[in-house]
Order: sequence, then C-alpha cells, then structure tokens
Amino acid sequence: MIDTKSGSKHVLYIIACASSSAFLVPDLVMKAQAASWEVCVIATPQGTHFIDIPALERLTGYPVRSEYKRPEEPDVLPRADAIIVFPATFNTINKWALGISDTLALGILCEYTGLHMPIIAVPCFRTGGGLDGHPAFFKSLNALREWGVHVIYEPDKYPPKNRVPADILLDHLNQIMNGVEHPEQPGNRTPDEIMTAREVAALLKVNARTIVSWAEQKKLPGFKLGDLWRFRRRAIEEYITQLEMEVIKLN
Amino acid sequence: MKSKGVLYLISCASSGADRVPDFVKLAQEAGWDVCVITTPQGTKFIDMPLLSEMTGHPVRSEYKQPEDADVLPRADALIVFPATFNTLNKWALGITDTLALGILCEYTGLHMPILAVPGIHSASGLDTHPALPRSLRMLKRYGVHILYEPGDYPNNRIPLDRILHILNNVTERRIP
Repeated sequence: MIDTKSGSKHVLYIIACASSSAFLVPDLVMKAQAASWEVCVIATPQGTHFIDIPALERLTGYPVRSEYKRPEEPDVLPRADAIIVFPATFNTINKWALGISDTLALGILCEYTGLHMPIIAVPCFRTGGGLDGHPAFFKSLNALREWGVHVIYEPDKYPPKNRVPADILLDHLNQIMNGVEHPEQPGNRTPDEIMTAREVAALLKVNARTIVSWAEQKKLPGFKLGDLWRFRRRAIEEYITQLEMEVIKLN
Repeated sequence: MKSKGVLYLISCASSGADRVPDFVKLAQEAGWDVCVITTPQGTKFIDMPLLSEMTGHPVRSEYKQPEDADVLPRADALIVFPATFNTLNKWALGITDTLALGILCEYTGLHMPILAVPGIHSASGLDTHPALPRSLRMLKRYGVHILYEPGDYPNNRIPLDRILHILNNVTERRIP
C-alpha cells in the first residue's frame, strides 16, 4: 500500500502471539510485501517461541521486537499505518480489552486502539477447546469491536482454528484503508446509537418486517416511539452475546 | 478403592500451600490420580521433588515449548488449592499468562468440575478488595464451585477432609 501524498510505502505491524498458527506469519508477511506494505513483525514474549526470528528479520529488514525498550534507547521501528494481530491468543485479546499492557505487543495495541488506527485482530485457537467457551472471550471481542477494532472471528468458516487466509486479511485491510468499509469506526457506531428496524435487520441479516415482528413478540429488546420501533445498539449486541452463550451452554 | 480419574491440583503462591502434600495424600486415598500444577510464583511455596515423587507425575509450572509433548493426562476434575487473589481475578477475566491459568480457562470453557479454595489472609486487605467478590461471582456464574468460608475458618484454612468432601460432591453430583 503506497501513500498517495508522499509516494512512500505504508507501514504494517504484524503482531504475532504464542499460537500454533504462528508458522503462517511469514506467508502473511510476504503477501503483505507483495501488496506494497512495509512490514514490521512484533511478537509477544511467549510468541517468540513460535516464530523464526532471524528469518523474519531477514524477510522484513527490521528487528523483531518483543520487549519494551529502555527509556534511553531509540525507537527502531517506523510508526505503523495499520496493524494486523495474527495469530491473536485468548490471553492477548482479553488483556487488550482490559487495557493491560504488560508486554510490548499489548502496549502498542492499546496505544493504537486509542488513536483509532486501523487494526485487524484474528483470534486463532481450536474451536471447542474450552477457551472459546470462556465468557470473557466474547465480552472482550465485543469491547474491541465497540472501540473500532476489526475482529475477524468466523470459526465456522475457517475451522478448526480460525486461520483466516492472508489474502482475505489483506483484502479486508485494503478496504479499511480505502474507506470502503467503515462499519466499526467510532462515531458512527457508538454503543448508545439508536437504530431503526431496517438497520437492525441489516445487522442481523434478516428482513425488517421480521425485526418488527420479533420486537412485538418481545423476542428482541426495543422500544416504541409513537408507532415506530427503535433499538439501542448496545442492547441488541448484548442480546446477541446472550444467545451465543446459550448455544455454548447447550453444547 | 475405585479409581475416580485424574485430578489436577493447581497450587498458587499462598502460605496455605503448606497443606498441599497432605491433601494430595488424602485425595489419592480417595481414589484420585493426582497431578500437581503450580503457578510460577507458586513453585516457591511447595516441595516440587516431593510432590512429583508422591504423584508419579512431573509438577508443571510453565507453558511447554511448541515442539514438546504433553506430559500430563487430561483431567476429569480440578481443584485450585490454595487459590490466590491474583489467580482468581485473572482467571475470571480470561488472562492466561501462566500455564495454570491457561488450564483453568480451558477447563472452565469445557464446563468441567472445578473447585476453587481461596487461600487469602483474613483482614489482609485483599479479602476486602472489591475485585475479589466480583471475580468470585463471575466464576460462580461460569459454573466454578467456590469454597470460601473465612467466617468459620480464619484465612479460609478449611479442614482438608471437608475440602475433599465438597470436592467429591462437586464431581459426583456434577452440580451444573
């Protein structure tokens, strides 16, 4: 990705966590480079055991950082224009959502989240392994999404560990950078946003008439202004989480 | 004695860890195949060679390297004894930066029987920190059983036979 104003390459941080899916990082690096990104890899301290650091340093031309620098040391990496967290662990997702930044990777993530920079997070761990049944995980995903992070977690589509292919991640990133897709930009998606039946229908991929009918039957949390149904985004999202939890309990 | 299966005993950094060997013995007599796991800080509070010899399993405290094999059998039940303030809070929030927490979060999501016995000093301040009741509530909601009776037993030093009795209730009745 080239900056149209300066003509220089945009910088992408790839943040790798301690996951058996980390062997896919070099592939993502090479494909991002082919799409004209300047790539830097950062790992969590545990993540360093899962990647070949010298190989990634040769590939990117940057040191692979995993620890906070000392105050007197200079920054060795350029600032990022976008971040992909791949693979993201349960631990890093939850700490990130809670604002715990006791590793360099988390520090960077929390900083760039607050700066509203484009971030894609891809949690990779085995579906049904237990971690996906811990309620904290969905709570954290909701919080991150609310803050504008693009979480790609479609374990049904990418079984068994949600290893989303590099091409799809880069397409998604490209769309975010080009402003094609801003569904999770803070501002137009605040948790207190009031939605129409049509907007809720678009969110849930059903017919608007179905939404009204569910609301009438008290199957969906909404309220009536005159004779028009309105919905609070937060209430709808919490309701979805509740439904997800029920499915997990049944399984 | 009929075998009850594999019990993971997860031991944290608390002075209550001095009773871990006695509890292991009691649980073994009740038919459990016990494996002891400890947090990194917890290693200082237990005699690892002794526990490894007693159980016939290595006492694990760190995540294995990706290429290493699993050394422990899968658990049928877990007891966190003693459970520290730190581990209880991290567990409730889904923080898995130690092996012990990783195992706890996994088995919580699998809805396996887990009993947590906090080892927290009464009137230390940690027992009245608002995060503790919040975490205990969250864990209960996730289906974890908590044995915390500091009113009856100072520092929650509950007699070992009572802990074992509750553990058996939790595992046999499979209380949801």
